[in-house]
Amino acid sequence: MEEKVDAVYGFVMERCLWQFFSRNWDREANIKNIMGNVAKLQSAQEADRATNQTNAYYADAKILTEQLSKKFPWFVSLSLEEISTIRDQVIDRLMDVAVVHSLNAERTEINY
Amino acid sequence: MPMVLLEADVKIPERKKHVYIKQPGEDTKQFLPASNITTIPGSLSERGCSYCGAKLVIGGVLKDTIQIIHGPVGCSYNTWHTKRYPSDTDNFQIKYAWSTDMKESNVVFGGEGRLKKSMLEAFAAFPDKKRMMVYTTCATALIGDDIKAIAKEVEDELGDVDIFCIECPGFAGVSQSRGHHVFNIDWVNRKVGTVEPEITSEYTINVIGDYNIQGDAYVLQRYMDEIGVQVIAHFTGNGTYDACRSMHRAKLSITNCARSAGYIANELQKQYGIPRMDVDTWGFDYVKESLRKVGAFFNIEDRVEALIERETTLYQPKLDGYKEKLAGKKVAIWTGGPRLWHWTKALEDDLGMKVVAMSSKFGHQEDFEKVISRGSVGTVYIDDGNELEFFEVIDMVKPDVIFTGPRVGELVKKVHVPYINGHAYHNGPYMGFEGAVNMARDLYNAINSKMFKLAKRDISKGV
Ligand code: SF4
Repeated sequence: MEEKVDAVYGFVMERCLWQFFSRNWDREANIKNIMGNVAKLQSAQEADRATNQTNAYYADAKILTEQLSKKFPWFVSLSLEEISTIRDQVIDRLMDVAVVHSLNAERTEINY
Repeated sequence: MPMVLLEADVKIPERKKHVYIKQPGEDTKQFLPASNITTIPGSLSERGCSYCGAKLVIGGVLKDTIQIIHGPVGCSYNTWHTKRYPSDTDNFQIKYAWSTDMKESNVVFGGEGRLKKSMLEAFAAFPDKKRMMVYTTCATALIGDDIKAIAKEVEDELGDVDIFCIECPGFAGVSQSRGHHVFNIDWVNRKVGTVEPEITSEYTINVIGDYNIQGDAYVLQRYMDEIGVQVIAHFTGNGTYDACRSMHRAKLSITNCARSAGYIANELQKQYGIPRMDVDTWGFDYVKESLRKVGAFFNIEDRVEALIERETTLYQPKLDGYKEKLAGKKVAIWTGGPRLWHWTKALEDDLGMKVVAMSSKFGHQEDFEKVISRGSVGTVYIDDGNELEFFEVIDMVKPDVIFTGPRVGELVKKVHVPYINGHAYHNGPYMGFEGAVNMARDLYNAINSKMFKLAKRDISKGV
């Protein structure tokens, strides 16, 4: 499982931009919502699309889920338990690098 | 490896915190170059001034707006014509430059009268233009000319004009980045929401942080037209003043240059609930991803896939042809900031090249988080690089070609390394599928230029 977490985390870090938005609160919202939706879409659950904002999280997650499925053949057949573990651990690692221990001094400024 | 002190910087050891070489297993929690801080005296920076960031990068791109530069004539010249952003209004914005041409007596006695006269003259000279931006510069900010009061007088007097004032003189920040910031925030607070657009589609977006360099915005507009998405505003490539006032009506903002325009995307999200979606509109594979995200947002995936299929059929073979010739070639990217993270993986994945060094003029640490995460191990990452560092890095990594601006480009030519204009391009557009092929072609032509090979010969020595 650790290897799979590494693979998903590595792909997100190399490919995505949303974990590095301008401020901590944006980063956290993106990380939790998009990775949360990736787990939902992987296990054929519906993602929240009620507002433009949640719809944007869905769109980012949908494309990422497709990319992960194409790149890692094992991704599509993960069980609900496995994808939940990957989701939680990838969220933890993204939060760690982009929010908790980021050296970017600007991300805590209260204004944009 | 921790941060690196280059030999060129021995006398200015503060530069060590701006230079990083990535090693296996390292990430941005351990090392992140200092950036968006004052240039160290002794380091010959390539940065521009803050006024330049507002005018040259953002405001000056608008195709229907008179740009009054309130200052000495040099400030106007410095931000005129060096970026090639055309428009479908006969290139109004790059044909003309406006300046109040401040002289010593105006500095002593005040320049407000001169400003008002210039504004009225400009509106009279271009009677079909009803929109204007006015910029303070160092001299006029220091003497305290109240450009907003003058703009109000002119608006009241003429009745049918709208004027936006940008109070961001050259010294307002450490680089042009401050000008981007001031422009973004003032625009969203003072102008967005003051015009209602005509809505022609249920799918509406803002295209943020693309400046129509050699037609980039035309490519994006064509894609959006084809998939039935209405672009409410291009901020600001081939854009209009009033369209940018109506950005509050879009359902989504796609943001390409998050450095120069992430602020307005953030504020539109905060103030109007319009989500910010960051995309890469450069890079063959990235463009597919970006279009697919828009397709998923609006549930129009079938239209997007049809577009991708057609463009791939058309351009993939061309790209592959260049990939064969460019694979393994070493490239450096020494541009403003965001192009580092937009381009590094695109050049490596789409073309098989190796990005060996990257330098950012005005990027923030956020940009370095992105580029170090995307970039390769062994690559040199520099903030606010100086001339001597560039020469040392060339010796160190021996690039086959460098993306940079004309200033550094002229330097590197002297050591016979070909450069491609990374700001204004050689033969763009570079965005979209066709743009990725154009970029590959320019790389190929630069690396294989016979002129360059001839220039290396020293005929005095017969070699
Ligand atoms: S630094 Fe000041 S004087 Fe120089 S171009 Fe910029 S605004 Fe003008």
